Amino acid sequence: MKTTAFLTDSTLCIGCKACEVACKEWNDVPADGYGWSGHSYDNTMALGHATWRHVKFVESPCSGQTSNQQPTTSNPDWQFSSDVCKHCAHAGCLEGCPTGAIVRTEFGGVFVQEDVCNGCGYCVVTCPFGVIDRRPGDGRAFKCTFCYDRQKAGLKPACATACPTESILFGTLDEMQAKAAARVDTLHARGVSDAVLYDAANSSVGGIHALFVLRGDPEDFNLPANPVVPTVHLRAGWTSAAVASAGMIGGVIAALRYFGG
Amino acid sequence: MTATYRDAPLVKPPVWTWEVPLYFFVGGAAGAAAVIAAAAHFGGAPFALLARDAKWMAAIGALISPVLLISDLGRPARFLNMLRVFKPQSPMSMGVWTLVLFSNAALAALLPIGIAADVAVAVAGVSGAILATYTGVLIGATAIPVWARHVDILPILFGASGLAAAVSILELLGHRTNAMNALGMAAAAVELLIIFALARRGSSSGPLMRGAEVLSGPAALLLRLAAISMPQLRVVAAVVTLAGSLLTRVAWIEAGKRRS
Repeated sequence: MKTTAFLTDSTLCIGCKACEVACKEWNDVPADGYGWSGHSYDNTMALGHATWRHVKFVESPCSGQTSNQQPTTSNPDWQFSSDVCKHCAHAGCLEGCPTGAIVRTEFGGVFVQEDVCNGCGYCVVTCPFGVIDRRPGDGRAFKCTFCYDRQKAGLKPACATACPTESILFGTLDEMQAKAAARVDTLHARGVSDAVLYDAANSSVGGIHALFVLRGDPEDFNLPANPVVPTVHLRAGWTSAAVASAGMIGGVIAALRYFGG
Repeated sequence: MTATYRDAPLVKPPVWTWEVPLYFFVGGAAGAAAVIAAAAHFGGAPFALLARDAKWMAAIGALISPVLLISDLGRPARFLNMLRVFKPQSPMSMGVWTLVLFSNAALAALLPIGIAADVAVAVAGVSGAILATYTGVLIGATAIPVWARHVDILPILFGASGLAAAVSILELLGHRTNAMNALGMAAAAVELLIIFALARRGSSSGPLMRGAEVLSGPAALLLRLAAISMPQLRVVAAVVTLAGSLLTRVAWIEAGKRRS
């Protein structure tokens, strides 16, 4: 099987949230987002256990400036971008999962087996993108399945199928990488000089299977400049644990020997 | 502070409930108790009473720890799924297998089974040391910034904190020996060094962390120094140390829930 990927192009997104709705309908994801965040048309503010596609409404000053200033009414800049699980090449959640509930599918996606997950919550703190979360009441962890069931049947994921502007594309990873690069070139040629590709290729997550074309600084979209897969901390952590264990054992033996009973 | 999307946090806070810091405390004390039990067991007759009490502490901790961990699960009935896989790259998986080994060994160490009990005591001692320290790897090898930044310090901090707690419980049980006071001082000195190391890294701490640090480091150390000439202070030192040890775990879990 070929590795598949999303390409989400924020320059084509109209913020209609058809992806969120299609995802909920197909995957039977419970309702959320009835609250009013006060931030544009964003109700949930982030991906979560019941939000597997999330449209961000990024307001920033115009012409590619990416400071944190409020946009001015005379010169607003309003971008929309549909966020999703990144299906990392080196996925923190998958590495950390102690039950083996989180697996890599034949399409290269990261998939939670809901009949195995026991809700330990470790994936929640090992995801560098803040995607997966435990669902209160249910107790298990949930996130985008990459529509594994649809992919097995040869269909596109529900969000990509529903997107009316082809802002969400789906295909093989190679194909999506080529399209993303071509799209950024096209945008640059048209004078959209701040268009960038976000693929986390040069980070420890080793690239992602959900690529994004955006304008400006990816951090304004809550996409970390340098996502870190937590397994890079294992060596330092276990070395410290070994030193601490040896110190404790040695210290106790020394204390009993020296001071006696 | 770089800008994020509408100042929303980038990573999700831990969903762990009160059982987890309490488990860190109980498992740390039990693991360190098993180290003391093993050293006392193989130290011979002068340490027989110390060995007995430390073995019981380890065994009781070995029974409480799994209960705390299972009750924190979103689906407690599925706790056995933890034993489906053995995953070296997952500190949670390694911790579960360490706890399984430790619990069985700590309970077997109480049985009158001759040389097998000797083996169990030794296994409980070694796995106990890992049990008391791996929790630092568990929270350090995550995407939570304040934990990941200090992944190289946390196992040492939790190990020292666990040893200090085990020593203090033994003191409250009557083992107010010079050896226990020396171990308590050593643990408090390590924690004091860690406080300086964290300050040098520019970590700011809230009242909870500050309280945990004061109790576990300087307060415990001074009380134990004073107790050399005033033995009645040993009980105070032990209580202060225990409070500091528990508060240390609570403070570190809470720190991970805040923006940092």
